[in-house]
Amino acid sequence: MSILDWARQVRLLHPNEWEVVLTPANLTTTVEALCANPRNHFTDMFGVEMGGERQLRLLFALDSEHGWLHLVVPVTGDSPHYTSLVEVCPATLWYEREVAEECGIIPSGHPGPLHLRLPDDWPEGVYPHGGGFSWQDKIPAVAPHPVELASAPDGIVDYPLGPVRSGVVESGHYLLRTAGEELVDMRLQLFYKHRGIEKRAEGCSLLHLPLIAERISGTSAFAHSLALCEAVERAAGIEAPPRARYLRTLFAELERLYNHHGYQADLCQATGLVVGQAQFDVLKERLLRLNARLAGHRYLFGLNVPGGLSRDLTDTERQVIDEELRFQRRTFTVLEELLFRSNSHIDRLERTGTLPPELALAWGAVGPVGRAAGVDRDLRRDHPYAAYAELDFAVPLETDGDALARARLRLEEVRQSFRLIDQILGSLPSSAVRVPPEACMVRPGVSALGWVESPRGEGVHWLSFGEQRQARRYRVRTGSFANWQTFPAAVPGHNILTDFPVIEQSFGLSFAGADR
Amino acid sequence: MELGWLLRGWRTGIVTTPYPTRPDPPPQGFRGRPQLDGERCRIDDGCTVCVEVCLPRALRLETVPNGLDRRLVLDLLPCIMCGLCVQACPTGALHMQSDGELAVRSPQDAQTIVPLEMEVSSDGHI
Repeated sequence: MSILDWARQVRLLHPNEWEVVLTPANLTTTVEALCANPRNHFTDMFGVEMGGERQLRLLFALDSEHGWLHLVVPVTGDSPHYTSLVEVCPATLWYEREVAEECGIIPSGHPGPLHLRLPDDWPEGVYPHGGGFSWQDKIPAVAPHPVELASAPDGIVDYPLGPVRSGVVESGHYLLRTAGEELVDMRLQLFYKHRGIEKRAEGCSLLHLPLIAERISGTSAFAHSLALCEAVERAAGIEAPPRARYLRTLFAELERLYNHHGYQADLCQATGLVVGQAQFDVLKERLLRLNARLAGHRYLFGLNVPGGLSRDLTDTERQVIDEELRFQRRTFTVLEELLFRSNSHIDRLERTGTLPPELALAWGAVGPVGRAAGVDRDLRRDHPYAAYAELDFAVPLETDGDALARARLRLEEVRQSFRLIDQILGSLPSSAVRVPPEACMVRPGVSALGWVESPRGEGVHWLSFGEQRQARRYRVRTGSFANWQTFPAAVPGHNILTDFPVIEQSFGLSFAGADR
Repeated sequence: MELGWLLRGWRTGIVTTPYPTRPDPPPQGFRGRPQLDGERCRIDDGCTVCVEVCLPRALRLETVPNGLDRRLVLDLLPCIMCGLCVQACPTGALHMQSDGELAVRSPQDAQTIVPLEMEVSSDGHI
């Protein structure tokens, strides 16, 4: 039996984007059937309220041929329930908590139905994405009701870390449980940087939406604004001009490069290899300055606009990139060799923070973290966007799942980015870089998906428009959100307390990106 | 410790700059921050396109503390330096200043104010 047998309605929304409407009673069977096929990947789950009707929505990535599948489950009543999907699809664990607190759709039988993203003093019964709540509404003040964790058993010591720490580290709180030197368990408290970005986007016009997407995570600003612009373009039924598609690919790879250099620098810092840290930071800084020259902004803000890019690349700038790339390649080769000759560094990474491949797959690890644990997924190859379908590159894969695999994988990805940029500079089409704004017009009530392989993994944006062509609901699933859920699985077992900074840096996750 | 790192560090030399002792201008093409030229601003003629296009309300119309007069304020503290106002301004009163110097000593120093001149009729009514 296929899903089509129990679907109430099947629609092709856009090329490669399907929608199936289900009843809550059929949801579990459908998800179970989808998860049984290893080519399908659970991607997102969120709640929507439209015109007084609430919907539970799930998103699955299918194979390259079929694209994406939305499961839409209309729910009714004051306190709608559905059977928790955690047993059939463990990766839904955090998502179900988020849907419950933000839309009031309750998963029956959820193993830990606590608040996820909202602060301790958020009043009960106020749903950011339900009950007609607006971002301009005042939230009534209530006494904080924090969750008290059971204290550690005898012989186990709780070691709290964060949310304020030394250096330029984002805010996150860890409760590390140690038995002597060994890390036996970890609790994670994120979402200190929750800004309600998706809510703020509601009511915004096409002019302002990219500004909001860029602020999800500064170091993935280009990736997120690209995913948003692709969603808008799909909703409007247009495509960016060829030159814009190539340039978007170029900037996406420049963003990946500086992020991956920053990643190696942070990892060197965690293992105490300060010269290595400085060297990778030099490479990163040179790329940030290059970005400022090409885009007017070190982190590529303000470049993506619906229908293309806000500025073009001159021939002189093309030469500047070419020269910088030659320097980067030369230096990177030397640094990579030095890294592998530094036992003090490599020994700290080997068999540290292992994310077992079966857990990585079950918990929905994406991006470099997933690929380092055998999850062979890369949206650039599997669901190509921008100009990736026309370019030649390899997707590296590792199966060890430890910190060394994650570091090695990113080193290889840097080499692939060099390859991609070379090809783009050599085959840049000549055309406009933007369709006229009047041609980029969405139909009222339309919705569409945009996706991107950001430096930290799959970013998937879903955007629905209202009658005035303004954003009605914006949903963002970042790579960091998916990977934070897998992070605690890598901590217990053969790791000691001083391994923790190495494990943390080796995941290379963004707090802001997960918190939104 | 791998000796190669030592050599690499020595070869790289000093890459940080002595800013602010010596200027360190941002790269050519840097977007910078908006600057408002009151002389060219047509707020008196009822033009408010910059206010309408500003997402963080860094450009806003305010009532002066005397409760009567109004003024246009460009406040760099909430400004996200997207440059949409500069693109929208029909008279060129707004332009991007790309020297990269953003620090101010007080919140007031981050504000540019253009007073709105009211036409007052002979009987004193606006």
